[in-house]
Amino acid sequence: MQLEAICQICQKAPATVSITQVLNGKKQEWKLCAACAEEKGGLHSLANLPEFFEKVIKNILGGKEEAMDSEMDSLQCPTCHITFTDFEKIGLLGCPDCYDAFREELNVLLRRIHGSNKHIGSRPRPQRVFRNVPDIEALKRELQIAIEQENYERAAEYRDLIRNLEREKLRNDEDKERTS
Amino acid sequence: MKVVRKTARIRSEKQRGVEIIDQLIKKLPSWASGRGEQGDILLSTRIRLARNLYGIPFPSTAGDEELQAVVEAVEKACQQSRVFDGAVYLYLQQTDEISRKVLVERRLISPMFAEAKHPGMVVIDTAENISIMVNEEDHLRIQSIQPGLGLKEAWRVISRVDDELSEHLSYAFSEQFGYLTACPTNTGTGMRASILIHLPALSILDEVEQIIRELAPSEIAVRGFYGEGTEVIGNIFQISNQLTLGRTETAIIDRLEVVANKFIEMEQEARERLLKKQRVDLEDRIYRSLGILRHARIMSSLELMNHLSMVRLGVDMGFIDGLTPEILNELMIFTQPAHMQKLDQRLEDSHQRDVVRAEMIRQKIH
Repeated sequence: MQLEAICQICQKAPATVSITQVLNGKKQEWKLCAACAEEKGGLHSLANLPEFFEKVIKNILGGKEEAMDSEMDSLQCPTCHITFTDFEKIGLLGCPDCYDAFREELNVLLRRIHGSNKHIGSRPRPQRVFRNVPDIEALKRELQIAIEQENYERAAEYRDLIRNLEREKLRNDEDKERTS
Repeated sequence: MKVVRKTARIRSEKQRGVEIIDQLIKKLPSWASGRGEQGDILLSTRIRLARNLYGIPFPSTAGDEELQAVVEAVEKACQQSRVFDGAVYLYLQQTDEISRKVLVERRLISPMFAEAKHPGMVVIDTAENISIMVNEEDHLRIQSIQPGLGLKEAWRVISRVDDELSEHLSYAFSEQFGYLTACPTNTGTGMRASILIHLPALSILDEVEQIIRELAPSEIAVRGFYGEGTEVIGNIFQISNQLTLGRTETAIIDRLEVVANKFIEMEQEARERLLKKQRVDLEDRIYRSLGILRHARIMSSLELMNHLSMVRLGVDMGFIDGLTPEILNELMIFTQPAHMQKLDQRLEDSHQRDVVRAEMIRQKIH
């Protein structure tokens, strides 16, 4: 049985249009509803960004504008307190945590702007100075990623860091046992 | 007593800011040397990275105290990096309007940053190859400028600086979205790579727009001389990548290099065509501009840029002897309004500046 395709952008309306986009030499096919397709067609006119965002965002969420505005007003970043409506107006997010607070909306928006919502570029180095106790599990994940990316120089740095931390932890545990 | 000392310190810091700019404007930035690959058509290459710190709102939202903390954290991180040995640290508060304009003219800060009222800083390395704007749209805007087509070199330099800084600063980074930036158009790599390219023949033939339209699906943006929201002057275009997420830095660079080479090839082809079909017209344009630069007594900076474009074309095509791209770059940089005003405060009046500018040109082109 063949399922009816749903628009890949709004995830709501049935997909009636198929758009093939060639970005960075990669062919990508989009199955979209008529409204999203129209928006996607205007992808490279990024000159008026805030206006562009507003249109895109309204399109993403569809429905009645008024209802949406109040819904967007209540969507607020708990850290810097800017609302999604504020963002729409100025085109700038308030703080790094906005990316979590507006994750769903940004996922769609970033895909619209960049044709992707997943970073595959470089990563920051492990920090030499840790403010908090370093999380060995997190470092192991970083090591795994470095290996997958065949960045062996960085992988070696993580390996050494993890080894030192584990040794230190072992020493601490032994000290504790001795004193107890 | 304490108050007196503080006032004295602020005064000496301001003095230091003035001295830094005074030193800066005497020399030509190394990117303007006129050397570098394809240096005749491609003036310079720039890569900038947008970075932010965890736990602090982006500059448009943060308070002055938080922004001051960013300035201090970045300064400390730079001092631990070897790249910034001998670098200068210029605080926005200690920088007057003219000095800020000088920094814009040297492409070390954006026109928007020159207007900022909040705590901010510019870090500049000795050769002006690497600089950082602190608290522009993002906490850090790191840039590397190279002469000619130097995308790979710029990336080599800037990624090393970025790596070093990331060891001392907690960058806001997410597994999914990459480097988190104030504007979602920069999210991911936070990278904007751009070239400044001189396209006089394509401009004469009125073919630039058509090429831009053809290349539009290549994810590039075309802007004016000083970047976003500025005009194209003297047939110099800034071409940069548009997209930052879902592609690696090297893929972005490779893509832009292909576009840059395409523009160079089209410009060279247009020059050949002009030479074959409109040689006299072309010579007339070039020698007229040379004549005006040699003899004019009043010269605005815009008029200069237009004649410089024709003279540069004449030098590139072997019509004019005795001038080098370096001399033309010197004229282009040192005769900008704020540079002239900084050297001589009496040149506040633009007509007065136009007279002195014409004199400066006659000294170089005779």
